[in-house]
Amino acid sequence: MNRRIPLRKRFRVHTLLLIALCGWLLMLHLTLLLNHGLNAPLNGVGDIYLSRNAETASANAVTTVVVSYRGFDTLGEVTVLFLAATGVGMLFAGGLGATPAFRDRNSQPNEVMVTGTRLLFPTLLLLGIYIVLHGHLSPGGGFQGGVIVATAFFLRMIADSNFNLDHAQLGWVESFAGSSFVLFGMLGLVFVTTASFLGNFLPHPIAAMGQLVSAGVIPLIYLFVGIKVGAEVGAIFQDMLESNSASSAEEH
Amino acid sequence: MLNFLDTPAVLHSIYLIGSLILFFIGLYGLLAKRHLLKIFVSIEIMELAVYLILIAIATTSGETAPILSDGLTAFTGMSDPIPQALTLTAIVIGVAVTALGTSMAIQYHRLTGKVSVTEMTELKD
Repeated sequence: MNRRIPLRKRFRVHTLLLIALCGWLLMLHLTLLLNHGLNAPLNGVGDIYLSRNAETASANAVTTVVVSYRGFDTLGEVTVLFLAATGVGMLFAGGLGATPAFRDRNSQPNEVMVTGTRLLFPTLLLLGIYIVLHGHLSPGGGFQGGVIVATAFFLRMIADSNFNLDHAQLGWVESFAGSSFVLFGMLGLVFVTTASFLGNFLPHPIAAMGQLVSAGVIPLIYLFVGIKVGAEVGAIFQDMLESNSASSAEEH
Repeated sequence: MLNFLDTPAVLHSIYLIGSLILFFIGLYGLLAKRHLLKIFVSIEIMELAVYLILIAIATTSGETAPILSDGLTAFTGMSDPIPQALTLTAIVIGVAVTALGTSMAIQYHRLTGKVSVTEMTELKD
């Protein structure tokens, strides 16, 4: 089909030339910058965090940075995710579907989908919970595990048209997790031993590093982040599916 | 024979060139495509390239992931954890923004039946 159109019409030549120019300039710039940056002796914030990381007794230094050293940043990040989920819910629940595109969403999902989901759902759920709980020991954590749990429920929603997540319940779970995060941060502020927001007020002996129950408050906070992210992403999926089924219901 | 690939300068150059090619593929898509969802896909590709640059520049050959496991006992000789944590933040924000933008595009298509940015002339007059 494309064979009749000449090559120069399939691409936008001016745009392509502009991109090539931009790429060349950025490459030059980065070469200059990196020659200065990478040859210098590495003694940045990251090395100081790494050398002090043992004080938190968390085996995963990335988790320490995300939850402990930059915990306030993570609180803001979770808030942005919450706002986006609210925005998606508002856009789809507003009843704007004036001229919905016709699509047969009420057709039954096929057998492969249903059986595969039946097989995958418990496995994905277990994997997600494992990743959330081992955030301070292995790669992963609340964000990744929460998204995996939400994906498990999303598969379930596609495979079974009667399966729905209740928005009110999701809202409660989300508010519980969010307020627990803030509460734990406040508790760190209240206790005299830490006296800082998100301070690690639970006992965290260095000897226990690498065990499941270690690092004090870090795994608990990451668990709350996981619950919150799972509920929010689940709500986004539910909104998108609901809008489709609503518009096709109007159509029929 | 391929040991020269492990020197930091060569390693970083390879990562950088690959990521930049990916970045400019995304930029081309952003400028040349007219379909709203294709534009969002292009933005995602550009984001991915930036994550790759951040992660790749922060580590050199011989450094391990900043996690104590597999017999490691001390936090030495590890890659910088901060770019990795910031990339995690950026991925989450990117997902949130893309979800919001895609829903806006879907609603726009429902209201007007248009998907192309060249036809978006509602606010012109």
